[in-house]
Amino acid sequence: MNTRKQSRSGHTLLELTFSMSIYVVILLSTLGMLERDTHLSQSVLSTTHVEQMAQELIYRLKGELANAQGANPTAIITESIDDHAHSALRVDSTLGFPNEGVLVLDRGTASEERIAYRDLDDTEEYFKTLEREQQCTQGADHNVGSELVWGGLAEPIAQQANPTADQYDGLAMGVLGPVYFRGDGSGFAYRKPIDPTGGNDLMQGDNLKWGAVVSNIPTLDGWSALAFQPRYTISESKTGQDLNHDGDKLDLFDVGVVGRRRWVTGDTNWDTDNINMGPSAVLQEQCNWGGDLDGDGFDDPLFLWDKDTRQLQIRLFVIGGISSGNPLIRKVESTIFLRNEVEI
Amino acid sequence: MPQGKGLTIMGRRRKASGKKAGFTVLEMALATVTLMVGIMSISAATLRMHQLSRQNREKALAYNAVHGVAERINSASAIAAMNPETWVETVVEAYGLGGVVGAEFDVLGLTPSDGANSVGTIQLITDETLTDADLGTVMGMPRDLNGDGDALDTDVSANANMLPVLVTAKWRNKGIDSFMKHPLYIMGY
Repeated sequence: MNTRKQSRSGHTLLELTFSMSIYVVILLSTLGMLERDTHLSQSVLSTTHVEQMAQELIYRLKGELANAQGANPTAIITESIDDHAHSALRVDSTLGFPNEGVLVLDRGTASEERIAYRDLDDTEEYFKTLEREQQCTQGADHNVGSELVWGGLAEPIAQQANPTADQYDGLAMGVLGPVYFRGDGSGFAYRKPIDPTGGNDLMQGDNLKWGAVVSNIPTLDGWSALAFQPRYTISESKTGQDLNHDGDKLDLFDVGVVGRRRWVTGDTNWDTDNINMGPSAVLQEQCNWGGDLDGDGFDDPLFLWDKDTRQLQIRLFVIGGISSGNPLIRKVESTIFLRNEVEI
Repeated sequence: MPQGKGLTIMGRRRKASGKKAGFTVLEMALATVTLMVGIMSISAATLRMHQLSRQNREKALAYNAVHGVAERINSASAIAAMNPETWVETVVEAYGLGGVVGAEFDVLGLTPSDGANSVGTIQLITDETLTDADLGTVMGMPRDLNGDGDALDTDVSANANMLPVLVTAKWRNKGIDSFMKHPLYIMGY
């Protein structure tokens, strides 16, 4: 009897097929959900990571610049150079220029050239160890009397109404509308209140004592600068994404850090301090630093310094998810009011 | 040799267990349902994580915008304070209602709450009798804002030498309102 009952309790082929179909559907749905969850988790984690990186960088920059005094390093050429190799460039003063960086010469003209320099001299008149034709520019003659700016600087120009091409390098969206500016906006030079004796007395009469702590020594000749430093290159063609929303996938980008450099002006015997303010994730378009990165038609300088209002606009585009093949860009921006008067 | 023996034992076990070794459809269904419940829990957690991440992003946007506006007000105040006699007037003309810059601002990426024109508002407090409870924040109010020795004036817009300012961001996402308030003082000297 039992044997017969057992044989009757089996499933028919139809039942089995039906059950298996349901099982397969459920299993496939489950796997689909699992895959979707995995993608979503990866996306959320990388987004959160990138946003945190960007926000932390903003916090650090705010902390660094809270009591700083901004500078506008510009100079006038006092010895002409032609388009051949030169070891040094003579100007009226290199004060405020970082001891390593990029200069923009003859801006907005056919002779515009970016020249990298690796050192200053003690007389504060020479940029040394020059590297010509930087950032996709061509070598050109540069004559006495022409002005040059530190490439890091971006400052609004005086004439905001219909300026000519040689007067500005870019157009950024400011608080009250578009702002024409000169420079690349990839850096910012400044000094901070210090006590050269190492104590807490920052005042000299009614004035603050300005300088920087270089190699752990506070000095009145010390200067600081934040500047973008490229680390590696990514291309839109490899990522398959139009990262700057300009309608093509042909652009190349420098990814790097915002570094803080501290040096002593007029004395090359001092070591230079150089630290990274954040991860290597800050984006700049190659050969177009400070250019438009979000496709809104306006340039996006990292730092836009208005010495008249003492407002420093910081605009960071941070990229993450490169290693997972799904690059993600986040923009963070803020404004810092530098409470102290501008010196140069 | 131990391996061979092991295999023999396994083979015997399998053979011995015979038909009982497989899973029934019911067992499979139960296992699948359990798996589904587990994965749905993970899915819910992931969605929640996504939601929290978005909220975090919105708060960061609001924080940067509110603090950026506060810094610009500080900048405008510092410039206006070069002439202390017209300081209040200049600041109010810039950031008051209908001012050059205005008392409202938008934040890219945030949606205003229902009925609001913009995400951000700037409130210059010119009534020194208002309390912290009235303002909804801790600012040490009421306070003497015009230096006349009392905190009884309901309008100090003509002679204040310090002003409390409230910068607020209020935004909505998926029916939920969020807000952030940043109080600050500006000085006219």
